[in-house]
Amino acid sequence: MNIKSVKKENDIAGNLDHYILTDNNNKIFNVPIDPDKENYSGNTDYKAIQKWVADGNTIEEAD
Amino acid sequence: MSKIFVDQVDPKTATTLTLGTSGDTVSIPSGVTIANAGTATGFGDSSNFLPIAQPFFINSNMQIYQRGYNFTGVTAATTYSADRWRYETGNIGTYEMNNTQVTAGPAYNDGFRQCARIDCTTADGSPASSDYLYFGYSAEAQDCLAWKKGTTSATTMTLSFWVKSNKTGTAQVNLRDMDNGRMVSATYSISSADTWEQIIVTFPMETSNKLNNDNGSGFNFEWWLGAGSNFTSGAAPTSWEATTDADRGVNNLAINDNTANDWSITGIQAEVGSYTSSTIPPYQWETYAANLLRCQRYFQEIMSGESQNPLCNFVSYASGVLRGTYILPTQMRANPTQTDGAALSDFDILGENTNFAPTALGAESLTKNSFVVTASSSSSTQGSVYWCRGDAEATYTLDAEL
Repeated sequence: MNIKSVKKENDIAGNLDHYILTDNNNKIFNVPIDPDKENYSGNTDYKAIQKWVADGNTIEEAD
Repeated sequence: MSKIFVDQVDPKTATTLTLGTSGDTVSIPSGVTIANAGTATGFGDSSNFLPIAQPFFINSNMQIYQRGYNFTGVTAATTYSADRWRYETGNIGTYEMNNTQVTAGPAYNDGFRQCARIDCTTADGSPASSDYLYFGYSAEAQDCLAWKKGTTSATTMTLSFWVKSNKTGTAQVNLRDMDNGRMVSATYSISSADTWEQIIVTFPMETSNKLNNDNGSGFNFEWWLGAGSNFTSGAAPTSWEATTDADRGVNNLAINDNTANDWSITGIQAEVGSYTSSTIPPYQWETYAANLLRCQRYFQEIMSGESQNPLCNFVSYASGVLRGTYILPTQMRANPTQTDGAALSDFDILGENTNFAPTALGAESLTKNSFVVTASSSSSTQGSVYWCRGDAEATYTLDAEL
Protein backbone atom coordinates (compact mmCIF):
# COMPACT_ATOMS: atom_id res chain seq x y z
CA MET A 1 0.00 0.00 0.00
CA ASN A 2 1.30 3.45 -0.94
CA ILE A 3 0.47 5.77 1.95
CA LYS A 4 -0.36 9.39 1.23
CA SER A 5 -1.36 10.48 4.73
CA VAL A 6 -2.38 9.10 8.13
CA LYS A 7 -4.54 10.83 10.73
CA LYS A 8 -5.58 9.85 14.25
CA GLU A 9 -9.27 9.25 14.93
CA ASN A 10 -10.71 9.32 18.44
CA ASP A 11 -13.68 7.44 19.84
CA ILE A 12 -16.69 9.14 21.42
CA ALA A 13 -14.85 9.40 24.72
CA GLY A 14 -11.97 11.23 23.08
CA ASN A 15 -9.52 8.32 23.24
CA LEU A 16 -7.43 7.29 20.24
CA ASP A 17 -9.38 4.55 18.46
CA HIS A 18 -7.77 4.05 15.04
CA TYR A 19 -5.91 5.68 12.19
CA ILE A 20 -7.50 7.00 9.01
CA LEU A 21 -5.13 6.12 6.19
CA THR A 22 -5.38 7.72 2.74
CA ASP A 23 -3.51 5.99 -0.07
CA ASN A 24 -2.14 7.50 -3.26
CA ASN A 25 -5.46 6.80 -5.00
CA ASN A 26 -7.24 8.82 -2.26
CA LYS A 27 -8.93 5.70 -0.98
CA ILE A 28 -9.72 5.83 2.75
CA PHE A 29 -8.91 2.99 5.17
CA ASN A 30 -9.77 2.75 8.86
CA VAL A 31 -6.80 0.96 10.43
CA PRO A 32 -7.00 -0.37 14.01
CA ILE A 33 -4.37 0.34 16.64
CA ASP A 34 -3.05 -3.18 17.03
CA PRO A 35 -1.96 -4.70 20.31
CA ASP A 36 1.65 -5.74 20.71
CA LYS A 37 1.58 -9.09 22.47
CA GLU A 38 3.28 -12.45 22.41
CA ASN A 39 2.38 -14.97 19.72
CA TYR A 40 0.33 -12.40 17.84
CA SER A 41 1.04 -10.83 14.50
CA GLY A 42 -1.35 -8.07 13.78
CA ASN A 43 -2.79 -5.90 11.09
CA THR A 44 -0.41 -5.46 8.16
CA ASP A 45 -1.67 -1.93 7.42
CA TYR A 46 -0.86 -0.91 10.99
CA LYS A 47 2.65 -2.32 10.48
CA ALA A 48 2.92 -0.36 7.23
CA ILE A 49 2.02 2.82 9.12
CA GLN A 50 4.69 2.08 11.72
CA LYS A 51 7.25 1.68 8.93
CA TRP A 52 5.95 4.85 7.23
CA VAL A 53 6.54 6.76 10.48
CA ALA A 54 9.97 5.17 10.90
CA ASP A 55 10.78 6.43 7.40
CA GLY A 56 10.28 9.99 8.66
CA ASN A 57 6.60 10.67 8.08
CA THR A 58 4.21 12.14 10.64
CA ILE A 59 0.73 11.11 11.71
CA GLU A 60 -1.73 14.01 11.85
CA GLU A 61 -3.54 14.67 15.12
CA ALA A 62 -7.27 14.03 15.41
CA ASP A 63 -9.72 16.87 14.90
CA MET B 1 -8.78 -75.60 -9.47
CA SER B 2 -8.32 -77.86 -6.45
CA LYS B 3 -9.40 -77.30 -2.87
CA ILE B 4 -7.84 -78.30 0.44
CA PHE B 5 -10.19 -78.49 3.44
CA VAL B 6 -8.22 -78.17 6.69
CA ASP B 7 -8.71 -76.53 10.10
CA GLN B 8 -5.32 -74.97 10.37
CA VAL B 9 -2.27 -74.22 8.24
CA ASP B 10 0.73 -74.02 10.50
CA PRO B 11 4.20 -73.18 9.19
CA LYS B 12 7.15 -75.07 10.48
CA THR B 13 8.52 -73.63 13.71
CA ALA B 14 10.27 -70.31 13.23
CA THR B 15 9.46 -70.11 9.54
CA THR B 16 7.12 -67.85 7.55
CA LEU B 17 4.06 -69.07 5.70
CA THR B 18 3.96 -67.56 2.21
CA LEU B 19 0.85 -67.36 0.05
CA GLY B 20 1.60 -67.14 -3.67
CA THR B 21 4.48 -65.57 -5.47
CA SER B 22 5.00 -62.19 -7.08
CA GLY B 23 2.25 -61.48 -9.61
CA ASP B 24 -0.30 -63.79 -7.99
CA THR B 25 -3.51 -62.55 -6.43
CA VAL B 26 -4.82 -63.94 -3.17
CA SER B 27 -8.53 -63.13 -3.14
CA ILE B 28 -10.96 -63.05 -0.26
CA PRO B 29 -14.50 -63.80 -1.48
CA SER B 30 -17.50 -61.72 -0.47
CA GLY B 31 -18.94 -62.79 2.84
CA VAL B 32 -15.67 -64.01 4.27
CA THR B 33 -14.58 -62.47 7.54
CA ILE B 34 -10.95 -62.14 8.55
CA ALA B 35 -10.66 -61.88 12.31
CA ASN B 36 -7.32 -60.67 13.58
CA ALA B 37 -6.41 -61.41 17.19
CA GLY B 38 -2.69 -61.11 16.66
CA THR B 39 -0.54 -58.51 14.95
CA ALA B 40 -1.24 -57.59 11.34
CA THR B 41 1.37 -55.54 9.55
CA GLY B 42 1.83 -54.24 6.05
CA PHE B 43 -1.84 -53.41 5.38
CA GLY B 44 -1.17 -49.73 5.71
CA ASP B 45 1.54 -47.40 6.82
CA SER B 46 1.67 -43.96 8.31
CA SER B 47 1.54 -42.36 4.87
CA ASN B 48 -2.05 -43.55 4.56
CA PHE B 49 -3.06 -41.44 7.50
CA LEU B 50 -2.83 -37.80 6.48
CA PRO B 51 -2.02 -35.55 9.42
CA ILE B 52 -4.04 -32.52 8.29
CA ALA B 53 -7.80 -32.78 8.79
CA GLN B 54 -8.64 -30.02 6.32
CA PRO B 55 -6.83 -29.04 3.13
CA PHE B 56 -3.79 -26.94 4.04
CA PHE B 57 -4.51 -24.32 1.41
CA ILE B 58 -7.66 -22.25 1.66
CA ASN B 59 -9.72 -21.79 -1.51
CA SER B 60 -7.19 -23.55 -3.71
CA ASN B 61 -9.95 -24.45 -6.15
CA MET B 62 -10.50 -20.69 -6.59
CA GLN B 63 -14.25 -20.92 -5.91
CA ILE B 64 -14.40 -17.83 -3.65
CA TYR B 65 -13.70 -14.33 -5.01
CA GLN B 66 -15.19 -11.76 -2.63
CA ARG B 67 -13.15 -8.86 -4.05
CA GLY B 68 -14.38 -9.42 -7.59
CA TYR B 69 -13.44 -11.68 -10.46
CA ASN B 70 -11.87 -9.38 -13.03
CA PHE B 71 -9.13 -6.79 -12.61
CA THR B 72 -7.80 -4.94 -15.65
CA GLY B 73 -4.93 -2.55 -16.28
CA VAL B 74 -2.89 -3.85 -13.35
CA THR B 75 0.73 -2.67 -13.40
CA ALA B 76 1.91 -2.47 -9.80
CA ALA B 77 -0.32 -3.92 -7.13
CA THR B 78 -1.28 -6.84 -4.97
CA THR B 79 -4.36 -8.32 -6.63
CA TYR B 80 -6.56 -11.07 -5.20
CA SER B 81 -8.48 -12.55 -8.11
CA ALA B 82 -9.43 -15.37 -5.74
CA ASP B 83 -9.59 -15.12 -1.97
CA ARG B 84 -6.22 -15.84 -0.34
CA TRP B 85 -4.43 -16.13 -3.72
CA ARG B 86 -2.72 -13.05 -5.09
CA TYR B 87 -0.77 -11.78 -8.03
CA GLU B 88 2.13 -9.50 -7.15
CA THR B 89 3.02 -7.16 -9.98
CA GLY B 90 5.87 -4.68 -9.99
CA ASN B 91 6.04 -2.56 -13.16
CA ILE B 92 6.65 -5.40 -15.60
CA GLY B 93 3.91 -4.83 -18.14
CA THR B 94 0.16 -4.55 -17.71
CA TYR B 95 -2.18 -7.41 -16.89
CA GLU B 96 -5.72 -8.58 -16.64
CA MET B 97 -6.23 -10.89 -13.69
CA ASN B 98 -9.41 -12.79 -13.33
CA ASN B 99 -11.18 -15.75 -11.88
CA THR B 100 -12.00 -17.80 -14.94
CA GLN B 101 -14.09 -20.88 -15.54
CA VAL B 102 -12.37 -24.15 -16.33
CA THR B 103 -14.48 -25.68 -19.08
CA ALA B 104 -12.55 -28.66 -20.43
CA GLY B 105 -9.41 -30.72 -20.12
CA PRO B 106 -7.78 -32.80 -17.41
CA ALA B 107 -8.25 -30.20 -14.66
CA TYR B 108 -11.96 -30.03 -15.53
CA ASN B 109 -12.14 -33.81 -15.48
CA ASP B 110 -10.47 -33.74 -12.07
CA GLY B 111 -13.39 -31.65 -10.78
CA PHE B 112 -12.09 -28.10 -11.00
CA ARG B 113 -14.38 -25.39 -12.41
CA GLN B 114 -12.55 -22.13 -11.54
CA CYS B 115 -8.95 -21.01 -11.90
CA ALA B 116 -6.84 -17.91 -11.25
CA ARG B 117 -5.74 -16.58 -14.63
CA ILE B 118 -3.36 -13.79 -15.64
CA ASP B 119 -3.25 -12.36 -19.14
CA CYS B 120 -0.58 -9.96 -20.39
CA THR B 121 -2.26 -6.93 -22.01
CA THR B 122 0.80 -4.68 -22.40
CA ALA B 123 4.10 -6.45 -22.86
CA ASP B 124 7.43 -5.47 -21.32
CA GLY B 125 10.13 -7.45 -23.10
CA SER B 126 12.95 -5.60 -21.37
CA PRO B 127 12.06 -5.38 -17.70
CA ALA B 128 14.06 -3.15 -15.39
CA SER B 129 16.21 -4.93 -12.84
CA SER B 130 13.74 -4.48 -9.97
CA ASP B 131 10.60 -5.53 -11.87
CA TYR B 132 8.73 -8.64 -10.82
CA LEU B 133 5.63 -10.74 -11.38
CA TYR B 134 4.56 -13.75 -9.36
CA PHE B 135 1.54 -15.59 -8.02
CA GLY B 136 1.58 -16.11 -4.27
CA TYR B 137 -0.01 -17.47 -1.12
CA SER B 138 0.74 -16.80 2.54
CA ALA B 139 -0.09 -19.24 5.32
CA GLU B 140 -0.17 -18.50 9.03
CA ALA B 141 2.85 -19.97 10.83
CA GLN B 142 0.63 -21.81 13.31
CA ASP B 143 -0.96 -23.64 10.37
CA CYS B 144 2.42 -24.82 8.99
CA LEU B 145 3.59 -26.88 11.95
CA ALA B 146 2.63 -30.25 10.45
CA TRP B 147 5.90 -30.28 8.47
CA LYS B 148 7.84 -30.01 11.76
CA LYS B 149 10.37 -27.59 10.31
CA GLY B 150 13.21 -26.94 12.69
CA THR B 151 12.99 -30.32 14.42
CA THR B 152 14.72 -33.66 13.92
CA SER B 153 11.40 -34.96 12.56
CA ALA B 154 11.16 -32.38 9.75
CA THR B 155 9.15 -33.89 6.89
CA THR B 156 9.22 -33.31 3.14
CA MET B 157 6.42 -31.23 1.61
CA THR B 158 4.79 -32.33 -1.63
CA LEU B 159 3.12 -29.57 -3.66
CA SER B 160 0.66 -30.42 -6.41
CA PHE B 161 -1.20 -28.07 -8.75
CA TRP B 162 -2.87 -27.83 -12.14
CA VAL B 163 -1.34 -25.25 -14.48
CA LYS B 164 -1.90 -24.09 -18.06
CA SER B 165 -0.11 -21.54 -20.24
CA ASN B 166 0.45 -20.77 -23.88
CA LYS B 167 4.17 -20.73 -23.04
CA THR B 168 6.08 -23.92 -22.54
CA GLY B 169 9.30 -24.14 -20.59
CA THR B 170 10.69 -24.34 -17.09
CA ALA B 171 9.39 -22.25 -14.23
CA GLN B 172 10.08 -21.97 -10.53
CA VAL B 173 8.00 -22.23 -7.40
CA ASN B 174 9.49 -21.11 -4.10
CA LEU B 175 8.70 -22.12 -0.55
CA ARG B 176 9.70 -19.34 1.84
CA ASP B 177 9.99 -19.44 5.61
CA MET B 178 8.96 -15.90 6.57
CA ASP B 179 9.86 -16.32 10.25
CA ASN B 180 13.50 -17.05 9.57
CA GLY B 181 14.11 -15.42 6.18
CA ARG B 182 14.78 -18.74 4.44
CA MET B 183 13.77 -20.23 1.09
CA VAL B 184 13.96 -23.34 -1.04
CA SER B 185 12.72 -23.83 -4.58
CA ALA B 186 11.57 -26.42 -7.07
CA THR B 187 11.25 -26.20 -10.82
CA TYR B 188 8.49 -27.51 -13.03
CA SER B 189 8.01 -27.78 -16.77
CA ILE B 190 5.06 -26.84 -18.91
CA SER B 191 5.50 -29.22 -21.82
CA SER B 192 2.29 -28.66 -23.80
CA ALA B 193 0.95 -25.21 -24.67
CA ASP B 194 -2.62 -24.34 -23.65
CA THR B 195 -3.06 -27.68 -21.93
CA TRP B 196 -3.86 -28.33 -18.29
CA GLU B 197 -1.00 -30.27 -16.70
CA GLN B 198 -0.76 -31.55 -13.13
CA ILE B 199 2.57 -30.66 -11.58
CA ILE B 200 3.95 -32.40 -8.51
CA VAL B 201 7.12 -31.17 -6.82
CA THR B 202 8.67 -31.80 -3.44
CA PHE B 203 10.44 -29.48 -1.03
CA PRO B 204 12.91 -30.80 1.53
CA MET B 205 12.34 -29.61 5.09
CA GLU B 206 15.27 -28.48 7.19
CA THR B 207 15.82 -29.55 10.78
CA SER B 208 16.80 -26.07 11.91
CA ASN B 209 14.99 -22.71 11.94
CA LYS B 210 11.63 -23.60 13.42
CA LEU B 211 8.51 -21.63 12.64
CA ASN B 212 6.72 -19.49 15.20
CA ASN B 213 3.47 -20.66 16.69
CA ASP B 214 1.53 -17.53 15.79
CA ASN B 215 -0.81 -15.91 13.28
CA GLY B 216 1.93 -14.21 11.27
CA SER B 217 3.27 -15.40 7.95
CA GLY B 218 4.88 -18.84 8.13
CA PHE B 219 5.22 -20.42 4.72
CA ASN B 220 4.87 -18.24 1.64
CA PHE B 221 4.57 -19.78 -1.81
CA GLU B 222 5.67 -18.02 -5.00
CA TRP B 223 5.11 -19.07 -8.61
CA TRP B 224 7.36 -16.75 -10.64
CA LEU B 225 6.06 -15.54 -13.98
CA GLY B 226 8.43 -12.71 -14.90
CA ALA B 227 11.36 -10.83 -13.39
CA GLY B 228 14.15 -8.34 -13.85
CA SER B 229 17.77 -9.19 -13.21
CA ASN B 230 17.55 -8.49 -9.46
CA PHE B 231 15.55 -11.71 -9.23
CA THR B 232 17.20 -13.83 -11.93
CA SER B 233 20.95 -13.46 -11.57
CA GLY B 234 21.39 -16.28 -9.05
CA ALA B 235 20.45 -19.95 -9.00
CA ALA B 236 17.26 -21.62 -7.84
CA PRO B 237 18.11 -23.28 -4.51
CA THR B 238 17.14 -26.94 -4.10
CA SER B 239 18.13 -26.89 -0.45
CA TRP B 240 17.24 -24.30 2.18
CA GLU B 241 19.20 -21.06 2.18
CA ALA B 242 18.86 -17.52 3.45
CA THR B 243 16.37 -15.77 1.20
CA THR B 244 18.22 -14.24 -1.71
CA ASP B 245 16.30 -12.08 -4.16
CA ALA B 246 18.64 -13.07 -6.99
CA ASP B 247 17.51 -16.70 -6.59
CA ARG B 248 13.78 -16.14 -6.39
CA GLY B 249 12.85 -15.78 -10.06
CA VAL B 250 15.65 -17.47 -11.96
CA ASN B 251 13.25 -19.78 -13.77
CA ASN B 252 10.19 -17.86 -14.90
CA LEU B 253 8.06 -18.12 -17.97
CA ALA B 254 8.49 -14.43 -18.88
CA ILE B 255 4.74 -14.00 -19.23
CA ASN B 256 5.61 -10.32 -19.57
CA ASP B 257 7.24 -10.57 -22.99
CA ASN B 258 4.16 -10.81 -25.24
CA THR B 259 0.50 -9.87 -25.10
CA ALA B 260 -0.33 -13.36 -26.34
CA ASN B 261 0.79 -14.78 -22.97
CA ASP B 262 -1.40 -16.09 -20.22
CA TRP B 263 -1.03 -18.43 -17.24
CA SER B 264 -3.68 -20.20 -15.17
CA ILE B 265 -3.59 -22.29 -12.00
CA THR B 266 -6.03 -24.23 -9.80
CA GLY B 267 -6.33 -27.32 -7.62
CA ILE B 268 -3.33 -26.60 -5.44
CA GLN B 269 -2.57 -28.95 -2.57
CA ALA B 270 0.28 -29.46 -0.12
CA GLU B 271 0.86 -32.75 1.64
CA VAL B 272 3.06 -33.87 4.51
CA GLY B 273 5.49 -36.41 3.10
CA SER B 274 6.90 -37.29 -0.28
CA TYR B 275 4.53 -38.33 -3.05
CA THR B 276 4.58 -38.90 -6.78
CA SER B 277 1.90 -38.51 -9.42
CA SER B 278 0.77 -42.07 -8.74
CA THR B 279 0.75 -41.81 -4.92
CA ILE B 280 -0.41 -38.24 -4.29
CA PRO B 281 -3.52 -38.34 -2.04
CA PRO B 282 -6.79 -37.17 -3.57
CA TYR B 283 -7.59 -33.45 -3.49
CA GLN B 284 -9.59 -32.67 -0.36
CA TRP B 285 -12.85 -31.03 -1.40
CA GLU B 286 -14.65 -28.59 0.86
CA THR B 287 -18.18 -27.34 0.62
CA TYR B 288 -18.57 -23.80 -0.71
CA ALA B 289 -19.81 -22.70 2.72
CA ALA B 290 -16.83 -24.19 4.58
CA ASN B 291 -14.46 -22.65 2.05
CA LEU B 292 -16.07 -19.21 2.40
CA LEU B 293 -15.91 -19.34 6.18
CA ARG B 294 -12.18 -20.08 6.09
CA CYS B 295 -11.65 -17.20 3.63
CA GLN B 296 -13.55 -14.82 5.93
CA ARG B 297 -10.82 -15.17 8.52
CA TYR B 298 -8.80 -12.93 6.18
CA PHE B 299 -11.32 -10.84 4.27
CA GLN B 300 -15.02 -10.11 4.61
CA GLU B 301 -17.26 -8.41 2.14
CA ILE B 302 -19.99 -7.03 4.38
CA MET B 303 -22.00 -5.50 1.53
CA SER B 304 -22.61 -8.06 -1.17
CA GLY B 305 -23.52 -5.97 -4.20
CA GLU B 306 -27.23 -6.60 -3.81
CA SER B 307 -29.73 -3.76 -3.99
CA GLN B 308 -31.17 -2.68 -0.63
CA ASN B 309 -28.43 -4.62 1.11
CA PRO B 310 -28.65 -4.01 4.87
CA LEU B 311 -25.52 -3.02 6.78
CA CYS B 312 -26.58 -2.51 10.40
CA ASN B 313 -28.93 -0.80 12.81
CA PHE B 314 -27.95 2.63 14.11
CA VAL B 315 -28.72 4.59 17.20
CA SER B 316 -28.14 8.33 17.18
CA TYR B 317 -26.46 8.88 20.53
CA ALA B 318 -26.06 12.57 19.74
CA SER B 319 -27.58 14.72 17.08
CA GLY B 320 -25.89 13.93 13.78
CA VAL B 321 -23.80 11.06 15.20
CA LEU B 322 -24.77 7.44 14.55
CA ARG B 323 -23.26 4.18 15.80
CA GLY B 324 -24.16 0.53 15.18
CA THR B 325 -22.47 -2.67 16.28
CA TYR B 326 -21.61 -5.51 13.90
CA ILE B 327 -20.80 -9.05 15.06
CA LEU B 328 -18.62 -10.96 12.57
CA PRO B 329 -19.59 -14.47 11.43
CA THR B 330 -16.10 -15.79 12.14
CA GLN B 331 -13.09 -14.55 14.05
CA MET B 332 -10.64 -12.77 11.77
CA ARG B 333 -6.90 -13.39 11.79
CA ALA B 334 -6.18 -9.96 13.28
CA ASN B 335 -8.00 -6.72 13.95
CA PRO B 336 -9.12 -5.80 10.43
CA THR B 337 -8.83 -2.70 8.30
CA GLN B 338 -12.17 -1.33 7.12
CA THR B 339 -12.80 0.44 3.85
CA ASP B 340 -15.75 1.28 1.68
CA GLY B 341 -15.26 1.77 -2.00
CA ALA B 342 -18.51 3.46 -2.89
CA ALA B 343 -19.98 6.95 -2.89
CA LEU B 344 -21.85 7.92 0.27
CA SER B 345 -24.94 8.39 -1.91
CA ASP B 346 -24.91 4.62 -2.39
CA PHE B 347 -25.90 4.28 1.27
CA ASP B 348 -29.26 5.10 2.76
CA ILE B 349 -30.13 5.57 6.44
CA LEU B 350 -33.79 5.00 7.24
CA GLY B 351 -35.88 5.78 10.28
CA GLU B 352 -39.43 6.71 11.20
CA ASN B 353 -40.80 8.59 8.19
CA THR B 354 -37.34 9.61 7.08
CA ASN B 355 -34.38 8.51 5.04
CA PHE B 356 -31.14 10.27 4.21
CA ALA B 357 -27.62 9.57 2.97
CA PRO B 358 -24.75 9.73 5.47
CA THR B 359 -22.22 12.54 5.19
CA ALA B 360 -19.55 10.19 6.54
CA LEU B 361 -19.32 6.44 6.99
CA GLY B 362 -16.59 4.40 8.62
CA ALA B 363 -15.72 2.10 11.50
CA GLU B 364 -14.20 2.13 14.96
CA SER B 365 -13.41 -0.35 17.72
CA LEU B 366 -12.22 -2.75 15.04
CA THR B 367 -11.54 -6.14 16.62
CA LYS B 368 -11.24 -9.71 15.37
CA ASN B 369 -14.81 -10.50 16.43
CA SER B 370 -16.81 -7.29 16.07
CA PHE B 371 -16.67 -3.59 15.30
CA VAL B 372 -18.75 -0.43 15.34
CA VAL B 373 -20.12 1.09 12.15
CA THR B 374 -19.90 4.87 12.34
CA ALA B 375 -21.90 7.42 10.36
CA SER B 376 -22.68 11.09 10.44
CA SER B 377 -25.64 13.09 9.22
CA SER B 378 -27.25 16.27 10.45
CA SER B 379 -30.59 14.62 9.67
CA SER B 380 -30.33 12.20 12.57
CA THR B 381 -32.07 13.00 15.87
CA GLN B 382 -30.57 12.15 19.23
CA GLY B 383 -32.14 9.04 20.72
CA SER B 384 -33.71 7.85 17.49
CA VAL B 385 -32.98 4.50 15.93
CA TYR B 386 -32.30 3.86 12.25
CA TRP B 387 -31.05 1.18 9.93
CA CYS B 388 -28.57 1.51 7.10
CA ARG B 389 -28.62 -0.16 3.74
CA GLY B 390 -26.68 0.17 0.51
CA ASP B 391 -27.52 -0.09 -3.15
CA ALA B 392 -25.87 -2.53 -5.55
CA GLU B 393 -22.82 -0.27 -5.85
CA ALA B 394 -22.19 -0.02 -2.11
CA THR B 395 -19.18 -1.85 -0.74
CA TYR B 396 -17.99 -2.21 2.83
CA THR B 397 -15.14 -4.59 3.53
CA LEU B 398 -12.83 -5.81 6.28
CA ASP B 399 -9.29 -6.98 5.57
CA ALA B 400 -6.99 -8.96 7.87
CA GLU B 401 -4.82 -10.60 5.21
CA LEU B 402 -1.24 -11.55 5.86
